[in-house]
Order: sequence, then C-alpha cells, then structure tokens
Amino acid sequence: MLSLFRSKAKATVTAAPERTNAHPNGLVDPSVMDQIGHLEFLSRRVVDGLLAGKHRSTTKGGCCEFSQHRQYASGDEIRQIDWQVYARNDRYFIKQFEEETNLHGIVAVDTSGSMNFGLSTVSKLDYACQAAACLARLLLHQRDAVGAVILNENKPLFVPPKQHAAHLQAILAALQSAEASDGGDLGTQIRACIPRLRRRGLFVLFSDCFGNLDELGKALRIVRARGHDVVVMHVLAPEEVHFNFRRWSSFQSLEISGQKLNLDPAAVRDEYLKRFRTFLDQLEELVTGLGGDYIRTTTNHDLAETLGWFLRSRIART
Amino acid sequence: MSFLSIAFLTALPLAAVPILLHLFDRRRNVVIEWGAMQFLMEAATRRTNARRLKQWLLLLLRVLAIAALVMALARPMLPGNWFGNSDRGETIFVVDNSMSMMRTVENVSLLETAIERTVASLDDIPPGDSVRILLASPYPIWAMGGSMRIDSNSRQLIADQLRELRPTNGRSDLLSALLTAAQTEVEPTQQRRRIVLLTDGQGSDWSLTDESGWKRLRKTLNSAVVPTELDIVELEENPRGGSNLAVNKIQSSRTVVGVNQSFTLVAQVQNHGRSPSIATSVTWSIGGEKANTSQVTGLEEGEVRDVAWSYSLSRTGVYALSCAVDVDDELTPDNRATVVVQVVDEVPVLLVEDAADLAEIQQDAFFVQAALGWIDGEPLDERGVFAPQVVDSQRLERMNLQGFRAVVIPNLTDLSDDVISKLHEFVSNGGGLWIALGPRSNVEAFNEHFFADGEGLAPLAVDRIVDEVASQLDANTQKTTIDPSITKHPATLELADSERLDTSDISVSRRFRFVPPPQSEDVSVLLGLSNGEPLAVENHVGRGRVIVQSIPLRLQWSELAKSQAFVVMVQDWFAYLTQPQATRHNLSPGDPISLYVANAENREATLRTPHGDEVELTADTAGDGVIFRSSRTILPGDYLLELGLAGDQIPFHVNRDPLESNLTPLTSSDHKLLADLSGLRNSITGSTSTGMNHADPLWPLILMVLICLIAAELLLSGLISRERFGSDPISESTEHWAEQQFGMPVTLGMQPVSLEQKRHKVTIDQEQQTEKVGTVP
Repeated sequence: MLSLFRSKAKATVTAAPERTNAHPNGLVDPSVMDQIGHLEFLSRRVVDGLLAGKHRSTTKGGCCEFSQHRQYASGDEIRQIDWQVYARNDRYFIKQFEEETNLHGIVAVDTSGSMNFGLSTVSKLDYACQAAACLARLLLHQRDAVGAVILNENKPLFVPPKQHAAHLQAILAALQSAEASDGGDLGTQIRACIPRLRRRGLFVLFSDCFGNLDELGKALRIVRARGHDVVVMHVLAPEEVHFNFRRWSSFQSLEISGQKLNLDPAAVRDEYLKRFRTFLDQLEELVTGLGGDYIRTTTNHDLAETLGWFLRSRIART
Repeated sequence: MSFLSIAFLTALPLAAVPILLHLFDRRRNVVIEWGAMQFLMEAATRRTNARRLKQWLLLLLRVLAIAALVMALARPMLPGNWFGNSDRGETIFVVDNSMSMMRTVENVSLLETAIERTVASLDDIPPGDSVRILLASPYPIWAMGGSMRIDSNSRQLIADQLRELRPTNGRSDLLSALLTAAQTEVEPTQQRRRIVLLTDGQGSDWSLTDESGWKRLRKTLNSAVVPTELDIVELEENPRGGSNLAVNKIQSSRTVVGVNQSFTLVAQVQNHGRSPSIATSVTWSIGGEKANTSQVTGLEEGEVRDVAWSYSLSRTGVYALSCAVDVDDELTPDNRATVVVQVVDEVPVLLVEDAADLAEIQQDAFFVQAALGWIDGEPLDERGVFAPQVVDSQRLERMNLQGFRAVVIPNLTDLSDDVISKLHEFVSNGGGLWIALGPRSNVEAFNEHFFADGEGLAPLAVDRIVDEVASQLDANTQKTTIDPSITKHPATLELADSERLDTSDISVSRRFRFVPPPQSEDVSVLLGLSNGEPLAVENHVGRGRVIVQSIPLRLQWSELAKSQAFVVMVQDWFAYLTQPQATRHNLSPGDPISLYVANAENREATLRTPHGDEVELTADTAGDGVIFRSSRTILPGDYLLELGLAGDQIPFHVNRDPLESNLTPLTSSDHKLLADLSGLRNSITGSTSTGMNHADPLWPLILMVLICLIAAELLLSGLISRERFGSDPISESTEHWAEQQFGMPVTLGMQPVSLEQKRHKVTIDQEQQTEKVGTVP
C-alpha cells in the first residue's frame, strides 16, 4: 500500500528520440513515394528555368505557347516579326511565346529545439525531414532543380538547387545531418538565406513555427516578394494540439535550458488551447495572406496521405 | 455528546486521505520535455484564483464527507434538550377489551368506562405527543395503524376510533399486551413513553404463573431506550361478589354425524361466582331456534355440572347447536356456548378383504362391516354414518383413494410397493389408515415397508408373535386383557368407560409384539394390555393419522370382535381417523376456516364475524371444487359463511376461553406477587419510571449532511472536470479540417475561411485575370 505513495524516480519523457535513419536514403520512405510518385509538384507562380520543364517560364521566345505581341525594336531578330500583323496594321510586332521551364525548389527545415518534440510519435524534426526528402525526390524526379536549407541559429546549411538526380544524395545528407538545437528566431534565419535564392522558384518551409510570428511574417513576405511560391508545412505533435495530460507534470523547455514549469496540465488546458488556437489562426492568416499555402499536419498522420492530399490539391488548382 | 459505537472514531484520521492523495499526486509528477512552452507559460500565468478556490473547496468537501461518514458510523448522541423544545413523548393506551369488560356498573359497561377515561386522558396529553391504542383481547392488536400525533384534529379522530371499539368474547393476555407495548420501537424524536393499561382487574387475565414472562417484561422496561412510565388503571374499584353462571363449552361425541343418527351433546355448566347459584333451566337451540329445555340444579361456588342432550337431525347440513343457561347474572355473554355439528348422508370408507371366499365370520372385514351396520355390502336399519366399500388388495392397487376418508386393513397381508406408496400418499393428504396385524402378516415385510426405520406409516416395528395363552399355563396367572385406561386418548375416552362397556374384559390370546421405541422417543398409544404392553399405537403422517394394532379385527387371537366395546371402538376410531379430512367448524381463535365446496358455481363468499363485519372471500380451485379460506377468526363467537347468491349459510364457531368467566379480581396478595414478578414496586397503585437518560441520535442528521456533501462534491467535480476537459478540440490537420467542412476533394485555395484569406483568394484570381487580359492584343 505504501509503495503506491512512494516517490518514484521522476519519469522523464524524453522529447528527443534517436535519429533512426542511419543512411540518408532512409529519409525517403518508399511507401510514401509509391503513393505520391505519380503526382506532380507544380508551381503556382511563374518561375525561371533554363531547361524545358513542367512550369511556365518568364522567358519569352522559342516555341510552345503564344504569350503576347510587342513592337519591334532594333536588335530584334527579323524572324520573330509577325508578318500577318504587319499585313493588317503596317507595323512591326514581335511575336512572343511562353516556354515551359524547370523549377528551382528550396526545402527549408526548421531545426529549433522545439522541433525535437515527439512523445507518442516520431519527433517533428524527423517528420519534417522525411516530408522534405520525399518532396525533394519528387521534384528531382520531374526534372526540377531542388535545394535544401537547414535553418539553424548556429550551424545553418544551404544546399544550392541542382537538377541532376545525384543531387538528391546531397540533399538527403543535409537533411540527415540536421539536429535540433537551442531556439533562435526562425524569421531571421529565413531572411539570412534569402540572398542565396537567386532565381524565382518554390520555397517550402517545414516548421512548427513557434516563436515570433511577426518576424516570420516579415521573412516570408520578403521571400514572397522575390517571386517565390511559399508553402508552409506546419508540423505539430498531437500532444501539442490536444494537450490531454492528466497528471501533475513538470514541463521542461526544449529551447531554453533551465526553463521549467510544474503544473496540473488539466487546469491550464483551457487557457493553453485558447492560445494555441489563436496562434494557429494567426499563422494560417499570415501564410494565406501573403499568397502562400498553409498545410497543418501532426506527426501521427500518415506522411503519404498528407503529401498526397497536398499535391492533388495543387494539381487541382493549377 | 456520547457515541454508541465509539470505536469507529479511530477511523477519523482517514479524513486526511484526500489531502495525502493530493500531495502524493503532486510529488509523483512526470517530467516532460516540451516545445510549445510559450503557450504554456502564458496559460500558467492565467490560472485564476477562482479555479484554485474550487480545487481547495473540492478537497475540503472530500475530507468532510469521509469525516461525516466516520461520525455517522460512530452514532453520536446529543443530550435530549440539545435541539431546544423537542420534549416529545408517546402514550400507549392498552385497553382490556375482554369479555369481562362487558360487565356493567350503573348500566355503563366497563369497556365504555375505559374508553371515556382514555378520551379524557387525551386532553391531558400535550400537542406533539404521539398516541397508540393497543387492544389486549384475544391477543394484542394495535387498534390504529400506527402512532398518531396529537393535535386538535387528531384528538377528535382518536376519540371517535376509541368509541368504535367493541369487546370480544375472548380473554385478555395482559402480560403479552404490556410486553408488546414496551417492546414497540421508539421513534427518534420521542424522549419518553407512558403505557396506560385500563383493565377491570380480573385475576385470570394476568398470567401470574408465567414467571419468565414477567421477568422478560421487567428486563424490557429496564433496558428501554427512553424512560418508560407504566400506569395500570383498575376500573372496578369495588368488585361485586355477584354470581356468574356460565356454560363453559359443549362437548359432542361427534361433530360429523349421519342423518337421523343420534348424538349426545354435553354442556359444561359452571358456577364462577363467589356464592352458590340457584337451580335454573338450560335451553338448547338449533340455529337460534329453541329445541329443548333441561334443568340444572343449584351449584356451589366453582362447581361444574354436565348437562347432556341426545338428539338426531333428519336433514343433511351444518347446524349450530347452542346451550344457554337462563339466568341474569353479572356476565351474560358466557351464559351461552355453541357447537357446530355437520350432518352428512354417509362418510365413505374402504375395507380391505383378502379372505372373501371363507365363511362370513372367518372373513377379515365382516366384523368391521357389522360394527358399521352393514352386512354383505348392504346397510342395516341401524347403520352409522360410515359407508364401507369392501375390496381385495389387488383391486386396492388399482383404485383411486381420493373419495374415501379412511382405509381399514383388518388383517394385514403382504401388499405391493405400489399399494404402500399409494396408502402413504393417501394418509399424507389427510386420510385415515387402520392397520390390524394378523396371522397372515409378515413381520419382515411389515418392518421393511410400513415401519421403514421410522420413515414409514407405522410408528413402531413389530418383533414377533407372542402367545399369551402359553405364557399363562400357571393357573394363578391372570389372563392378558385389554387395558383402555392406559392413556387418555380422545379416541378411547368412551372405550375407557368400564361401567358401560366390557373393554377391560376382552382377553387377548395371541398378538404381535411391538418393538419398544427408544427412550427418547414417545409413541402415542391408543390401547394397551393389562401387562403394560401397547396393543394399538398411533402415528401422524402428513395431515393424516395411522392406527396400527397388533391383533386382527376378527374373531382370531382375541375376543375383541365379539365384544360389546367393538362397535364403539370401530365407530369412535373411524370418527377419529376421518376427522382430518372433515371441515373444522369448531375452531380456536386464529384457526383458519377452510371449507371445500364441490361443484361450486360461485367463487365468491362472505364471512360474517361476531362483530357483524363482513369479509369478502374468493375461493381457490382445488380439484373438482373450490376451497374458501380465511384466517380472520381471532374473535371468539359465531361466524357465518354465506356462499354465493343462493345464500347458503355455513356456521362456524370459535370457542372462547372458559377462564374468562372467572371474574375473581386480583387480590392484595396477587398485587404483591405481581409487583415482585415484574419488579414494579408501585406499578399497580401508582407509576414508576425506568430507563436511562435520553439522548437524541445525531447520526440521521450527519447522514443527511453526508448526502449533501457527496452531492456537492459530485457537482463541483463535474464542474471542474468540464472546465478541464470540456474545451473544443483543435483540428489536427488542415486535411481533416477540410474533410469535416467540405468533404473531399478540397483544394487548398478553399481552405481559408477568414476574411483575410477570402480576400487573398480574390487577389490571386484578379492577378491571373490581369495577366490573361494583358495577353490579349
């Protein structure tokens, strides 16, 4: 009987499970790729690319789909003059075409300490890395150039976008090496890597977005202003969404060492959920307000279903 | 404050269990490494004092609930005046409504005097006190449903109910009445009790010989929860020494007789007065109509005189025959006694004959038939009520015995197991069986099947045949004869009359010897022998009776069959054996009425009681007919069962106790004896108080508080739980959210629901349109 009341050694629920993917290829789950492999990642915005791909190009000329006429200027090639228009108007117009080009996609993974949380499931960082790896492989498969950004306060890592298939290994290695460390401002980290995004393309952020939303908003607006298509995949743990803890617990911060809170979780659940819901609404408004896509998912969800649903939705809208 | 179970208070520390659990629960917290600290920090600072107050209140309620439970188990008592003006008591009026209370003083009966005194006493009882009325005759019965609180309305109601009380013809058992009153449960709000007994002081009602009963009363009063005061009011302050001649009872030789069969009624007249009586006439009546008159001479004090009357009735039916002494004495209701006689055509009985081919006097059943007034299956002129049917044992095996009242085997032979089991069932259902052992009886078979180690029909096993003649070779030795006076059995009362009958002259030459029963067991013996050994023994199996005799019922082994007493013996024993199946019309108080009616068309009947009340009865189906049953027979007197629309009236009579006619009052020595027995020194002349100091029970209040605490705890915990877990859940993913809102497929562009998001979508569409418009030359 007394043993029931005996103070046990405090159980610590670790929020940083071991990274199980020893080999970089382990990040790309074949089952996920089986389900999303037949889908295409299409850019909703006009992107610039050197090679012909599946995306609309801002480069006018070549062949393919007619884009517009413009008046002839000296230096233009004579063969580009539309003689039929000249016959009707007696003016020289140059005929321009839209050329399909390839996409420059950047997958950015947040590696702040909070991403290391995963109680009943894999950690958010693992989930985010797997999602990023799958998307990268998909983009490379459709002959798009893919790069990766590991957003970290101390050891940021940038893998420039490249198109060849062997580049996947470099991306996967970067993702594999990502380790959650102390906090840091996500917005600042994004802004730090913006100058390296030379061509307009796709910017996919995998993060829990905890931190200063205003800074994040500013950074994403800059990215958007530079012509990038912004997608925010908001990765959360189910415990963070439901907060169904019933016993007295000691919550230790994953980002700020020494920050600790002893409380009855059920007593603060209402307030917590209220704030969390407000945060989610603000983030969603922020992302959709700047024209990006917002996808919220929890780590207990099947990655293939989440990515598949997202890709199908994009195809339907394009 | 005092506690009835103070040991439970040791469990009071258990009240701290909720606090300990709370503290232990806080100590056993789990460390969680958490990412979303920013929301948790904000939420933790918003924990309001109100919520904390609720939690502490919940803890307090749990502590109080456990403490209240422990306190309630300890059963605390508070001093009687703790709750202020709650000095309430109860008065129990025990009214002696026996027959002797019908005596009048100045044309007012003692019972009426008792009632008026009780009504007058009601005015002295303060409002709020409770009153009960207990009637003492024929046994204690509460006159009102329960305790009644005194107020202006109920006073009149109680008075009206008291005035409706009627005396009974029965006797009071005042000791039982006092015990009943003293043992009545005390209501929690009552702090004292007063028992007032109103009686006429008749000595026979007091059961002075029951010492243990009076000691029990004393013990009950001493251990009463509340102070109990006992007042005994003797209404007859100056007892008259008047005469009281009474007919104690009527004895009848038979209560089931045949048509035109003579029977004798013997009325027992006794002078209960304290002076000699004068000669007076005795009137016999049938159904209320005068039938005969005889005389009884003057009787000395206490003298008993039997007055006999022989009569026969020419029609079948049930008749109430009464005997009344024509005298105006102090107590008139006991001047008359009644007996109910049933006149029937015949009572079917069965005789087993296994020697039909022999000469008549060598047949087994010939003498029994002759004694019943039948020869060769035909009735003689002077036949009795019993109609015999003669069968052999083989036919007995195939017969249905249901229509017969008794079976006689005059000379037992070997019977099959089926016959024996059939006889067993017959007797169990109330039939009579008379087995006579004879030369053809097999000892081993009898012991195995009829005695069956005490489980069979016979009460004793038989040993062997004893030749009494051979043992009487010595001329000086007396012959072995029947000794009818060995016991006083109701079936042999007439046989024992040696003046009229030659029973004691019947010699027995040979017989079976019964194995004597173990000393611890007692066997009913009907007839014995002059050498002290039993000749006929009796056994009761189920509702029926079995007589086993060790000589045959024919001219063999004895002179019984040719004796004068044989006819009387056969008639009396048949009457005795057939009694269980006959309807009992003469009852004792409380005996149930049970009347079987064959082929009844109407199943409704009305029972009229001596007080004139009518009780509706509904019959139960029993075989081809119905049975009317009632147990409303507590009042001595005449009952009338009216059957159906035809109005057939069947009389029943519940006999009264002759002791009630003895009006001798309690003497001073009786008073002293009573005081000694009951321990109430002043009980008769004054009053006494016993019992312990009163205290009010507190635990009912604590239990109510406990219920309130539990209800409040449930309410509060439900409220807190709702606050803790009642928040709407957040959608885990946009995919789920979209599915819930719109169903699949849903495009990402449709997800935003806010104004901002809608605006964004419009903006995007406009941009696309603008681009397309721009391409148009």
